[in-house]
Amino acid sequence: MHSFKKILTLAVALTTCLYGFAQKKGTKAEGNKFQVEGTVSNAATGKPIRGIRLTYKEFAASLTDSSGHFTIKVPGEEALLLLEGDGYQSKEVPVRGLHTLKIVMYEDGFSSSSDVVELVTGKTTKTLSPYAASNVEATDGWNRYAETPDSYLQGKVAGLNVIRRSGTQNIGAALFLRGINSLYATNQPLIVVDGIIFNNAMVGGSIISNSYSNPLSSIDVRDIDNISVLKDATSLYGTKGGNGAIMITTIRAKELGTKIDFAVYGGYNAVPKNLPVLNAGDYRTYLSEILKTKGLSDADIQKQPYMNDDPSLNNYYAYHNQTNWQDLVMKQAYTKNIYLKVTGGDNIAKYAISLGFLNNDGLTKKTDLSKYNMRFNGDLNLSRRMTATTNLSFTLSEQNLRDQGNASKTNPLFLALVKAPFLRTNDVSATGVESPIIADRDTLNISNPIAITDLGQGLSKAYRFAGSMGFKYEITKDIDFNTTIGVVYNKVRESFFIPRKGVVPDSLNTAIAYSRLGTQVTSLFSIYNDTRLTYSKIFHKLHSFSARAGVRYLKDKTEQDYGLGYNSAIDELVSVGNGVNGLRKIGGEIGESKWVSTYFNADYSYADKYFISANLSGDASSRFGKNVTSGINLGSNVFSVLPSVSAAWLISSEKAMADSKIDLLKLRGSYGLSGNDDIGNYTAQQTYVSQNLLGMQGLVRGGIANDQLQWEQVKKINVGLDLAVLNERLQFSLDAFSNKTDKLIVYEPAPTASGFDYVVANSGALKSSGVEFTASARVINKKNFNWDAGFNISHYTTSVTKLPTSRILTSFGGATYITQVNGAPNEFFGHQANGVYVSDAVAASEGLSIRKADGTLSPFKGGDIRFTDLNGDKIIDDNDRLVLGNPNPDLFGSFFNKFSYKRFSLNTMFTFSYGNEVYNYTRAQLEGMSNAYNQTGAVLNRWKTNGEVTKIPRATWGDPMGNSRFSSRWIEDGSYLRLRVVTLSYDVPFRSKFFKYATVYATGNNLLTVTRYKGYDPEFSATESIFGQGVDNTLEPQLRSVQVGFKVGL
Amino acid sequence: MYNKKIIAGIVLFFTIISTGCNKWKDHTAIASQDLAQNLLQAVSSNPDLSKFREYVGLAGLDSVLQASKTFTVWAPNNAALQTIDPATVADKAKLRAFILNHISNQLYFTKDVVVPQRILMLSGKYNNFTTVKFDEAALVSTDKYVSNGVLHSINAMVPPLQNIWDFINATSAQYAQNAYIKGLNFNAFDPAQAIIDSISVVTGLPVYRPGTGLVPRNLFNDRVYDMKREDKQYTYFVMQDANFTLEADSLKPYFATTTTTATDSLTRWNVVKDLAYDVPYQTPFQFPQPLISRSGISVPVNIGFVVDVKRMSNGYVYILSKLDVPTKNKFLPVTIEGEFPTGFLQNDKTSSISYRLRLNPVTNTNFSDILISGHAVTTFYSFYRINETPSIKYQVYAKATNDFQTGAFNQTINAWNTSLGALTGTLTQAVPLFTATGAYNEVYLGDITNTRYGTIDWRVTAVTTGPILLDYIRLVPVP
Repeated sequence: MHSFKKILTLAVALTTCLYGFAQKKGTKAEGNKFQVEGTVSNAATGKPIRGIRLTYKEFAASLTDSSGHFTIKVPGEEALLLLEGDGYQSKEVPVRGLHTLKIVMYEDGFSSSSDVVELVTGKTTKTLSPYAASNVEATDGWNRYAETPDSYLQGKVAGLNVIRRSGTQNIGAALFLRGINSLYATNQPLIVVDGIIFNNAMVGGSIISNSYSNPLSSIDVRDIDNISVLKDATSLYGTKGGNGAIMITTIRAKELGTKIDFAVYGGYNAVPKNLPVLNAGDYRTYLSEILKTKGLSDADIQKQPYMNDDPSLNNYYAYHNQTNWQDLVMKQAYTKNIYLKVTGGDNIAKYAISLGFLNNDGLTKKTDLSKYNMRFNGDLNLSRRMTATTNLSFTLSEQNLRDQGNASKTNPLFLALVKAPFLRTNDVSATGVESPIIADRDTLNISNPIAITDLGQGLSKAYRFAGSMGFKYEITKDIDFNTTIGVVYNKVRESFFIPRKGVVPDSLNTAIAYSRLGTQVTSLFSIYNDTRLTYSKIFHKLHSFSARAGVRYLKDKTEQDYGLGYNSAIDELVSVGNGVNGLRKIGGEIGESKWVSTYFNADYSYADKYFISANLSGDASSRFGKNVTSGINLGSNVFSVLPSVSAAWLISSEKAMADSKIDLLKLRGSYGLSGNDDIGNYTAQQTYVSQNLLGMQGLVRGGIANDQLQWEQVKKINVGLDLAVLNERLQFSLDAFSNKTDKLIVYEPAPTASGFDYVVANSGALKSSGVEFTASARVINKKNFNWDAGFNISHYTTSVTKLPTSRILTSFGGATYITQVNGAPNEFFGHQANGVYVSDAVAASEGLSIRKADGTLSPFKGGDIRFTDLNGDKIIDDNDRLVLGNPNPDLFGSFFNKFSYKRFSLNTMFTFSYGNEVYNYTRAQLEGMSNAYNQTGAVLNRWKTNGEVTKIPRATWGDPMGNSRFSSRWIEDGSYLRLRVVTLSYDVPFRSKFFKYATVYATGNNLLTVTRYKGYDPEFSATESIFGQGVDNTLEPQLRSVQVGFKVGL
Repeated sequence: MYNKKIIAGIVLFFTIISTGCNKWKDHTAIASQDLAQNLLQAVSSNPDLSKFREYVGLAGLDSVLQASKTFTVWAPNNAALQTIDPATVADKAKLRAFILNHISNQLYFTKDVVVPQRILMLSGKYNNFTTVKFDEAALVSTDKYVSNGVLHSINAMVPPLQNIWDFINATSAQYAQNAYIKGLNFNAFDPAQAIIDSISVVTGLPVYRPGTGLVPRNLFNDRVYDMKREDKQYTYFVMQDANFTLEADSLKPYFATTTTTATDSLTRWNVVKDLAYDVPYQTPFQFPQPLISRSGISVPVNIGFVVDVKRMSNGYVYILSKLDVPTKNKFLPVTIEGEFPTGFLQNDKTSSISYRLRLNPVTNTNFSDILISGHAVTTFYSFYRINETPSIKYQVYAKATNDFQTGAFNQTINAWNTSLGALTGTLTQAVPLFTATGAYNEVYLGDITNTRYGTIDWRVTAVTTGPILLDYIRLVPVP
C-alpha cells in the first residue's frame, strides 16, 4: 500500500501542475472567427430538418431553422461539429475549411462512427477514439429469445468469437476475443458492468454434469443500453486485461419525463431433428451380430429375452416395441416472459427501474428455468459539484437440469440415443398392459432415460446481488474526483438426485453406488473500488488534453461446499443426508484473492485530427509469487508494469480532403502490454492438501510452490483503418492485430524424484494474429423503405512459440489434443483412418498389427480400419498419431439485413463459422459398434465378409482392434451458417392518450442452420478450457424457437 | 447489379442448404441394394430358389426369414428340390422341419469355416459347413449378405436326419439290443421342471404340485452317453440279435443272482454299456484297434462283421453281425486304497486311526495309507465297499509297509457279500512287511472267489487287538 500511495501522490502533483498551466487560457465563444453555414436535410427524403443542434465542444452552438438552415461560428477551420436532434442519429461533421456545408442525417439508430463507445477512461465517440473498440447498441435485446449478454453478442462484433456452451437456457457462451491468448489461464475477456469488474467465472464447477451457472445470466439483456468491446485498449486493466474487455452499460434515464415500457412474450421451442438411429428391427439384428462377437453362443443369444418372438411367453411385450426415445426425452417447450422498465426523474434524481420474469421450459423433459430479476439505477445530483450514481440489481433464477455431456449412465439425451428401441419406458405385464411404474435398467445395462428425467432431480438456484455507488466530485472545473464502490454477492445452490430405479450403478472405491445424491453451495463475495482523479482541459480550443490517475482494488472471496451421498434406502429419499453414512463425501474449496492496480492515462488530441494516448498500469496481486523477476518491487510487493500507447489520424478531417467524397477516413495504431492474472489463487504458494490413507487422514504437499509465478504478459499490436463514403452509406472498418503472450503458464513436467507430476511455471509463449473486417451499407434509402446490409468477418491464427517440453497432450471426452511449438494450442491429435480393409487377404498383405496388453501382436483383418502407419514399424500405436484438425475456425462472423417498410421492419442476422474441426464424440459412440449401444443407420453398411467394399468397419464387441479409437473418422467439419435471428415487427398505428406506442413482433431464433456436421448442432463448448473446445459430447443442442410478443410504451 | 448478386446469393444459399440436408442421408444410405432386402425378399428375388421360396411359404416360415435377427440360409436350388419327397411337402410339420434344417441363427460366411464347423440349425439339428460344402451338398453361390442375414445356395437337399436315440426307439422291434436299451427308460423328478404350489411353513421347503416335474430318462443315456443330444456326435454299435444273446449269455456265470431275469438284465447291460462312443467314426476304417469304451473296456470290432452303417444327425450307427468281446476284457482289476475306508467295525475309534502320507524310499515317491493301532477292540476292522461286483474269482494283492513298530503282526482280509449276508472268502496271513528289503513291494496274498453278484465289503481285520495297516488291495479278476 505504501508504494501505491507514492504513485498517487505523483499523479496528483502532475495533474495539479497541468491545471495551473491551463488557467491562463481564454474561454467560450469569444474569438470564434470562422463562420460556417449550411443546411441539414433528411438523408431519405431530402427534406430539410428543423431543430438540429450543432455544437463544437463547449465553444459554439446553433440550431437549424425550419428550412434546415444553420449558421455557426467556430474557432477555426478545423472544427469537428456535432449534430444532434430528436429522431436522428448523432453525427460528427468536420468543417475542413469550408464555409458552406450540406449535411444529411439518418434516422436514430443508424450506425456510424459517431456512435458512443465506452472506453476504460469513459465515454467518447468512435471517431475520437484511437483504439480498436466496437460498440453494440443493445436495442434489439427486447425481441431476442432467452439470451444472456454473452450469447447476445454472437455475431455482433468482429473479432469476438462467441460459442454458446449448449442449448440449455441461461448457460451462456464461451467468449474468445481475438483468438487464444493462454493455455491454462482464462481466455475470456474481462467483463466490466457499469464500471465494476464483473467476476464472470463460475465458482467451483457444477455437480450436475456439463451444467454451468452463468454469472452473466444475472444481467437481463433488456437492461443493457450499450456494450463496448475493447480489443486493444485494455492495458489500463493491467493484469486483468490480457484478453480484452467487454464494457456493459445498463439502463439509465436519458430524459426527465416518466417513460414506461412493458413487454409480454410467449414462445415455442421446436424439438431438434432426431439423429437417425436404428429402429427396433435393425437394432436387434445388429445386437444379435455383436453379441456373437462377444463370445456368446447361439443358444445364449437366443435365450436373451428380446430374441423371443413368441407373444405367449413372458416378457414378449417388454421387448417388442418401437420406442423413439429421442421423442420421449426431448420435448417441445413453451416460454413466457414479462418485462417492465420505468425511467424518469427530475433534475435532482433520475431513476431507471426494471422488473423481469420469465419461465421457460427446457429441451430435456422436466427441465425448465424460472428467473426473476430487478434493477434500480439512479443518478443523483447531490450538490452543484457532486453527483452520485447507484446501481442495484438482484436476480434469482431457479433451473431444473439434468446431466449432460460425458455422463453415459445419466445423460438422458445420450441415453435416448443409445437405448434399445425395442424397450419401453414403463414396466409391462405378460399380456402387454403397461404399468405406471418406470422400467428398470435393461439387461443390456443401459439406464432408462425416463428414469433420469422423471425420477431424478437436478436443481440449480442462483441468487446474485450486485450493488454499486459512484461519487463524482468536481474539485475544479477541470479536475474531477471519482470513486466507485461495488459489492457483489452471488450464491448458487445445487442439488441432484439420481434414482436407483432405472439407472446403471456406478462403482465407488469401496461400494457400488446405486442411487446418487448431491448438494452444493457456492458463493462469491466481491468488493471493488475504483478511485481516480481526472483532469481534462481544452487549450486554445484545439488542444484537448485529459489525464487520469487512479487506483483499483478488488477482493474476491469464493467458497464451494459440496456433499455427495449414495444409496439412499428408497428412491423417495432424495436429499443427501439419506445416503449411507460410510459413503458420504464432503468437500469444498475456499478461494481468496486481492488485487490492487494503480493506473495512469493521458489523452491528447489536436484539432480532433491527431490523437495520442498513453497508459500505464501497475498491479500487485495476492496471486503473484514473492520473487517475481519482472515488474518492479515496491515495498514487499511486486508490481507489474504494463504500458501502452496508441495514436490515430483522422485523415478525412484534413483540409485537403474537403472536396472528397470520403466522409471518414481514419488510421489507428496501438501497442501495449497487458496481463492475465488467472494463474490460480494459491499456485505460487506452498500448500497442503488432506489425504486419506487406509482410513487415516493426513496432510501432503499440494504441489511445488513456484515463488516466481507471475501474470502472463500479452503484448498487443493493432493497426486499423475506418472508412465511410457516400454520405456514410458505405462504411468499412479493417483491423489487423498481433498478440504475443509471454510468460505463458505451463504445467511443466517435474522430475520423478520430486514426487509430483508437474510444476506450474511461466515458461511458454504463444502468439495470435489476425484480421477483422466490418462493412455495412444503406443499400436502399427511401422515405418508406430502408434496407441496411452488412457483415463482419474475422480470421485469426494462434500458434505456440515456446514450450518447456516438446509437446503437451491433453484429453477430453475421448479426444486428445496436442500443444506443440508452431502449432495451434489445441489441435486434435490421433490416428488417420483410410477406409476399411476389403478382405483378410488385403489386410494381411499390408501386415499391420496392434500390440495387445500382453505384448503379443494382433494383426488387422478384413473389416478393420486401415490406419496410417506413420513410422513404418507395421504396428499401429501411439507413435502413429498426427494432427487431425483444429477446433479454431478459420473464419467467423455474421451478416445482417435490416428492412424497414413503413411500419414494418424485418431484421435478419446470419452467423457463421468456417473451417473449424469438431470431434463428434456422440457419433463415435453411435458408430463405434463395440457394445450394445444403439447405432446410427450408417452401421447397416458394416463390413461382413471378404470382398465387401464399405466405409464402416466390422462390428466387434469391445473393439479389440481399436477401430473406433480417436481418429479422423470422428473429426468433422464444424462449419456452419445459421439464420441466428429473424425478427418481423410492426408498429401499431393507434392514437391513444394511454399508450405512447405499441409494437408487435415475431422472432425466430436459429431457424435454419446449414452445416455438413453430423450431430444435433455444430455449436457447443463443453469446457471453459481450450482443451475441450470442439468436442460434441452430447449436450442439449441449440433450439429452434419462435416467439411472439408485444411491447407498449406508457 | 444488386439483383444479380441477390439471385446468385440465393442460388448459392439453396445449394448449400440442399447439400446440408443430405448429410445424414448420404451417410446412412445403404451401400448395396442387397441391404434393402431381408432374407425372404432375397430368396424371392432369386429365380433359382423359387421352389425353396414356395416351400418356405407352405411351411409358414415367412415371418422367420423376415425377423430382425441374423440368420444364415442354405437354400437348395430348384434342381435340388426336384427330388423332394411328396410326403414331406404334404405334411406341414415335416416340411417345416425340412426347411428349418436349412436355416441357422447367426451369420456364417465361408470365410468363417476355413476350419469346418457344425452349425445348429433352427430344426435343432447340426449340419456341417465348410468352405465348399454344406453337409453333403455343394455350395452353388455364397455369402450374399442382406439386412437380416446371409444367403448361400446349395445343389442338394439337406433333410433333417433322425438321431441315434430316435433310431434306437424306432428299431426296438428289430433289435433286441435296442429293445433292451429302450427298457431302461424311467421317470425322474426334476425340481426345475416342477410347478411349486407353495412353500411349506414348517420346513421352508417348496411343495411341488403332484404329477409335475417328472422327466423321462434312460439309464443308458445317463450312464453311457446321452444319445438324445444333438450337439455331440457318437458312434453306436448294434449287434444282431443272435450275436447279442450269445454275447450276453457268455457273461452269465459272472452275474450270478437268485433269478434268471436279474442275471439276464445284468449280462445285457454289461454288453451294451460298451457299445457307444463319443467319437463319430465316419467309416469303419477310422476305428482304433481296439476301441476303448467309456468304462475302460477294450472292444475289438472286426471290420468284416460290419453289416451296415447309418448316418444319424448326431453320429453313426453300425450294425454288426458279430462282436466278440473276450470275457477277460470285460472285467477290470480293482484297486482299493486303504486310506479311503467306507467304514469301521465301530465308529468311536477315530483317535486310533492315522491317515498317513509316507515316502517310499525305493521309488522316492509318496504314498498314502491307513494305520489303526491302540484301538483295543478285538477283531476291529475297516471295510471297503465295492458295488456291482461280479461273481468271479479274484487274485488278491496287497501292500502294507510296517514302518511303525518292530514287532511283526498279522491281519486278515475277507470279503463280506451283502447279498448273501455271509463271507465269501477269507485270507489270513496278510502280513505287513518289516521295513526291510521288499518292504515296499506288493504281495500276492491268495485268491478269493465271489459267488454272488452284488455288493462286497472288503474287510481288513485286526488279529485280536493288533494294529491294522493298509496301503492298498488290488483285486485281479480271473474269469
